[in-house]
Parts: sequence; C-alpha cells; structure tokens
Amino acid sequence: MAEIRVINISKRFGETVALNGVNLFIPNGIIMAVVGPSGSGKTTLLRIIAGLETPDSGKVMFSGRDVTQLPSSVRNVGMVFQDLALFPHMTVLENVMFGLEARGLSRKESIRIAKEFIEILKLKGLESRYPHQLSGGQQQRVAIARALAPNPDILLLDEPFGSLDAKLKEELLWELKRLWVERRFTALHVTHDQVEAMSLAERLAVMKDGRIVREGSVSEVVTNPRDEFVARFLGANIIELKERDGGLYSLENLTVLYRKGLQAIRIGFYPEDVEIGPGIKVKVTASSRHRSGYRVMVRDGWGSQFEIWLSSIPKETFEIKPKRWFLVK
Amino acid sequence: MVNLGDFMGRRWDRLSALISSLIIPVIWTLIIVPLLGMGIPHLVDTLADPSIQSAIVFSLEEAILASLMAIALAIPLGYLNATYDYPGRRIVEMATLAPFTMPTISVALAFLLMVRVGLLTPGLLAISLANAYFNFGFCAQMISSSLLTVGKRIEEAADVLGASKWMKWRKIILPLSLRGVSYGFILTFTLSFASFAVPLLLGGPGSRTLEVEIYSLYKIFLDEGKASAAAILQLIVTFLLSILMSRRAKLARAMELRRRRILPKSLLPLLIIPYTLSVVALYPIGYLFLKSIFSPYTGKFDPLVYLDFLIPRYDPILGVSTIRPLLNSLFFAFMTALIVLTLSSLILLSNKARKLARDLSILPLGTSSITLALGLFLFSSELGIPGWIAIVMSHVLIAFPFAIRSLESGVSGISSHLMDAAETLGASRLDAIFKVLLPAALPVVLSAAFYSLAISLSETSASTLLATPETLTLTVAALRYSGARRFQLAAAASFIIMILTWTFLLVKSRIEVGLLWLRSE
Repeated sequence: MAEIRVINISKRFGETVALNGVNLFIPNGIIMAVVGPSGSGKTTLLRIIAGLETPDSGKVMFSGRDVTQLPSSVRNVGMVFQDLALFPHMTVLENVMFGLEARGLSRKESIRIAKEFIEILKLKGLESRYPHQLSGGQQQRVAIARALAPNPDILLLDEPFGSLDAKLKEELLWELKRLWVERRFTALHVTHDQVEAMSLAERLAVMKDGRIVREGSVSEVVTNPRDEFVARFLGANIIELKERDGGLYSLENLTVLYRKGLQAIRIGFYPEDVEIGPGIKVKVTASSRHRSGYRVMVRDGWGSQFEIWLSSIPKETFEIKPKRWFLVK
Repeated sequence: MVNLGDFMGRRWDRLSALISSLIIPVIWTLIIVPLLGMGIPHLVDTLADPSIQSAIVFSLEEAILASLMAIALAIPLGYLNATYDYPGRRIVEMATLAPFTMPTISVALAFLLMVRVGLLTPGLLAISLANAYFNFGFCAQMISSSLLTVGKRIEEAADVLGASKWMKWRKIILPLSLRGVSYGFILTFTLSFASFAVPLLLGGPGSRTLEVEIYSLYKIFLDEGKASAAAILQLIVTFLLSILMSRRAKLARAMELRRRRILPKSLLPLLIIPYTLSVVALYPIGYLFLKSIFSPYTGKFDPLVYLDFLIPRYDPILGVSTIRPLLNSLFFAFMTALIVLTLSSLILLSNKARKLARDLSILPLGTSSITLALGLFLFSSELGIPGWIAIVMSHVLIAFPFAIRSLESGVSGISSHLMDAAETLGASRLDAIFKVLLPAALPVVLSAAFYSLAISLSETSASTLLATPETLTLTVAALRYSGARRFQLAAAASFIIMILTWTFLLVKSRIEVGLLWLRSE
C-alpha cells in the first residue's frame, strides 16, 4: 500500500475543462471518497490516478515516486469499474488470477492467492462459474476480489455500487469496510452518493467544475462544510439570518450570536438536526413515514421549502429550531 | 373493471400469433415427411454409391478450402478495420461486403466468365475461390464485430491488472475475437457445402457437390428415390451445421465499444491489404457488367441486350417470352414478401410467438434449398399444387428464417410497455394496435419484407429445380443462357438480378437506419 499525492493536475477534453489544478493527498491506509455531481471531474481524476488518462499538466506520486507517465499496467493499482468489466470468457477463478499472473506469479501461487480472496469475498464454490452465471452481488464480489488479490498500492472504486439495490449495496459496503479494517489498504472511492461515500471513507473531498472545493476528514467536512455548494450537496438546509443588534442575528424567534457588523449571515443545518421549539415558523407541505419518525417537507414564511426529520408531526403549523448548525459562506 | 371484450381480444391476438408462428414449421414438416418416405428405403444404396461418396468428399474438401481461404483473407482485414481508422475505411468495408450481397448466380457467372478467358481453371480451386470470394467480406465483418465487442473497459481492466500488451492480446483480445473467426468459418463452410449455382457452373465431372448431385439425380437421371436419399444426407449435415452456427451467433455485446486508433505511419504499408481486397471484391462485379454490355462475337459495345428482358419476344432457349422471367421473378418476390409480411405482423402480437417462430425457423434454415425444393416437389405433385405456388412456398421457407431474425432484432428495440401505456391512457385495444403498435412496428415489418424481396429475387437453387418454362425466374434464365453459351445474355440477366437485389437491400438498410430512434438503450 502507498500514499497517493496528486499535484496540480489539469485535464481538458477539447473545449471542456475536466480538471483544473487539482491537489489531493491520500494518506497510506486510508479510504478517501471523492463526491460531486455528474461532470464535476471525479471520474477523470480517478482515471488519471489509474493511468488510464494522461493529465495535461501536474503530477501523480505513489509514495514519493512520480508515476505520471507510467502506463496503467505497471502502476500496481486495483480498480473496480462502474460496469465491473469482468472478463466474460473467464471463470471466477481465472478472473481473480489474471492480475496475479500478469505480475509474473507462478500459476500455482496465483491459484493459491486467488482462492484465498475468493474465500474472503464469500465466493467459495463459485470458482468455475462464468460471470453471466452469477448474481449482481456475486459479480461485484468477483470484481473486488480481482482488484485486491494482486495487493495493489491503491484500490480505485469507480461508482461500483450504482446498479445495486439498497440492501445489497449496504451489505457490500460493510463487507468492504470489514476488509479494510483487516487489511488497511489505501483506496479512492468515487461516487455521486454522499451517504455511500460517508459510510466507507475516512476522508472526503467534494468536487465541483473540475476543482476540489472542500477536503478533510468525513466528520470535519460534514460538521463544517463551509461552502454553500458543499453544504447543499451533503443534504443541508440553508437559511439567511439578518443582523438585529450588534452580533445578534435572527429570523423570527431563531437568534444566533456571531461576529457583529455583517448585514446578514447564512446558516446550514441537516434535516435530522432540528427540534420542535421557538425558532422559525413553518408549515407542513408533505410528509412521509420513515423508520423512526417522519420526513417532513415544510415551507417557511419567506417561501423557502426544505426537509426536516421529526419523531412525530405536531400539527399543520409549528416552530422549529436547529440543534446544531454551521455557518455557510 | 375488467372488460371481457378486451380480455377476449388479447387472448385471441396471442392465439393467432402462436398459430402464425407454427405455419412455417408445419409446412416444413409436410414437405420433409414425403422426402423421408421416399428416401429412407434407398439410404443404404445411396451411401454405398461411389458417385455420392465422391460428391460428399468433394463437398467437404471444397467447403474446407473455401472456409480457410475466406478466413485467411478476413482475419487481417477484420483486424485492421476494428483496430484502426484509415483513409477510405468505410468504402473498403462496403466494397468487401458487396460480394456477400450478390446473388450466387452472379458470383458463379462472373467466375465462369473468368474461367473462360483462362484466368482460372474449372474444378475444386475455382469453386472454392468463388465461395471464398462470396464470404470473405462478411467473415471480416464478423471478426471486426467480435473484436469491437472487446469493450474499452475490458481492455482497461486488463491494463489496470498489469497485463502486458502480449498478455492482453493472448488472454483477452484473441479468445474474444475467436468467436467471430469460428462463426465466419462455420458460416462459410455451411454456405459452401450447400452451394449450388457455383459448383453447377464451375464444376465438371469429378467435381460435383452433393447439392449438384441431388439436382442431377432428380432432373437428369429422374431417380427420385436416390435423389431423396441424398437429400436426407444433405439435410443431416446442413442441419448440424446450422445448429452450430446459431450457437456461435450469440456474440457478447460490450457496454462501451472499443475505440479505433489512427493508423500509425509505421503501419501505412499494411493498407495494401484492405485496398487490394476492395479491388478483388469489385473486380468480378465490374467484369460481369463489362461482359454484359460488349458483344462476345464482335467485341462491340452492345448495351441493348438489356432490352431483351423488357420486350416480349419468344426465346427458344427459355421456351417462353423473354419478358416472362423478369415478371415471374418480381411476382414471386412480391408474393413471398406479402406472405412473410402477413405472418410477421401476426407473430409480432406476442412475445412468446416471436421467440417460438425464431427458434423453430432453424428447421427451414438447416435445410438446403435443393432439399427443400425436392420435398416441395414431392409434396405438391401429390396434392396437385400448381408449380408457381410451390416456387413461392420454397422462397417463403428460405426467406422466413432471415426475415424473422431481422424482425426480432428490430422489435427488441420497441418497449414492451407501449401497448400497456396506450391502454392505461384510455385507448381501446384496437386503437392501441392501430395508433401505437403498428406505427412503431411498421418499419420493422417493412424492413423484413424488403429483405424477403431481395432473398426471393436472388434465389437460384430451388427455382432451378422447380421451374418450368411458365415459372422460369431470371436466375434460372441466367443459368439457361449460360448453359446455351449465350454469355452476354446470362451476364445481363444476372446483372439485373444483382441491381434489383441491391436496391431492395438498400431500402432495407435505409429503413433500419430510420429505426434507430426506436432504440431506447
């Protein structure tokens, strides 16, 4: 395993700027998630690290070694593709053995290691099956086993769970997390699903228009997204408070204390971080039952609509107050 | 509320679809049974007959040689076309595919004309070369397609896993593209084994295929029993080959197609291969055309020979008016298309019927044209069915498996929920069929109909066996003229067939281009 450093990487496709001076550091043995909307450049970044695209400028370093110009086949990376890209004419065993034989291991040794990973990924008994004879979840496990078996410097995950149902996705995310706890590999997980990203990663980077706009530990980024785009992408609600009196900002009965002299400040809060109490008057526009309570869509007096999670729905109109909030630029 | 009328309507639709899908297999069974009845008692004698044995051996030799030559030409062409972009690639693809779309009589005549001027010697080599010429472009396309389905992601996965270029070629690209090679080989083998017009014109004593032998036994030696027994042998071989071929046809579809690279300068000399093969593919076509517009006696420019097929004049060689073959060909083609179109439209109504029709179409597909024609002759003479109906039936049986496959692939692009959507929006079942299903499916059905027109028009073997002067087709007329050494007329007749066939195939492909909007994936 290695630490990965991406230094000032830029990449254009014709007129489109895919990456614009991206810097990223993935410490050894850490899973980093890169999230962002479609077209934000996250897959291009992953493909550049894999060696499947060449950057226009910048460097990619694996444990201090410059690999920017090296072809993918000699970088020692493992990758799980969005469409898995399992070799259709090879059995499970042959698929998993492929990377081991490519690295020059003997057939006997390749079979031994491949079988070990087949067992770890709970695929025992399916060694001689072909990909089309497996379920979606089993195919996913083969792809993970194939990527991990050659002990790569970094495991790259390119939205591999997109096509799975919620339960299977959760199962596989736990499986991968368990493997990571046992083996502590370095990984980069690219996804547009922030929940999926947070359930696997230790660190999180949010991308927008070819740039990383926020990066840090998952809890740092979540508790203090800083940027409105990041906050909204992570699912936060944002409201604006006007200055009332030297450092006091308010919206109806919700008052917060902040540095005085600003005309208005914007605060963000997550749907689950609210309680019923004196604050902002809202009206219920729709609601749905959730496991432990309700997801309620409300509208405030200024016409903004946002979602909050409550254990019960009191009445049509009531007041809410964020338990935890953060300031948004 | 459940509407009983609609419920009955739906059930009736499905029932009629299922019945329609069984019509072709039933006809096939009806014509094969008398053939078996006539042939089985003579089977042992026929197998022991040295001329049949030598015909089987010759058919095998000729088919293997043709397949090897076709594949040898197709591999470099298919690889270059799938891997690199070079100037004129599309023209090369079209030119090399042209022979496969030619009626076999045109190929046979073009090669016969080359034999006559000493460019080739008749016999095994000429027959194999003509069959290889007919198939190599299609084989190249199969190899190209299977190489193109080695998706970009699969190659990237191999790269990321550390595969060297050699390992990637050996373990990924080669095994996956071999499916195209083996499909091309089996297809060429099957078509060459069952080819009729080519060995009939280019063969001689000692170089007769089983198909020609069956024809001679029936038409020249008037030995129906032995001809039927030989046809049973032919049926067994072609049937096995068809099953093998339909298994190979299931090429995987990649999520993302491989990208062609610009041909590097260092490889530019390789372009001699596709450019030469294009010239090779077009040469016989041009040669055939030239022979049809120049008098073989005076060497003078004489394009008026084409008018012979448009102006009614009794011709003793044909035993009928010269305009009759063209009219017959067009009539049979339109009847064939009409029947195939009607059956296809009915079969369309049910998914199950469509799959059943496709699966059962292996029966006529696995039967050579001469075998079908012989069975049809025995069946129709027993029941007193007129000759023209027997010819149309043979063309329907030959065209249907291809038409149903074309239909199936076209319909797979239409959402199965279209009818449901229309009905939930309040349309009656009849409205849903006429306003939604038929407009969506019409291009698919029309495409299948034009395919049938082309197949019927260029059909040679069955028509030759079944034709009488009154039911002579243009392909049979070309054969008769060539037998009478009237080569300019033969070349002109086969050139007319070729142009008409190409026109119908062109319309079919234009319709299919228009169909692309139906595909939601």
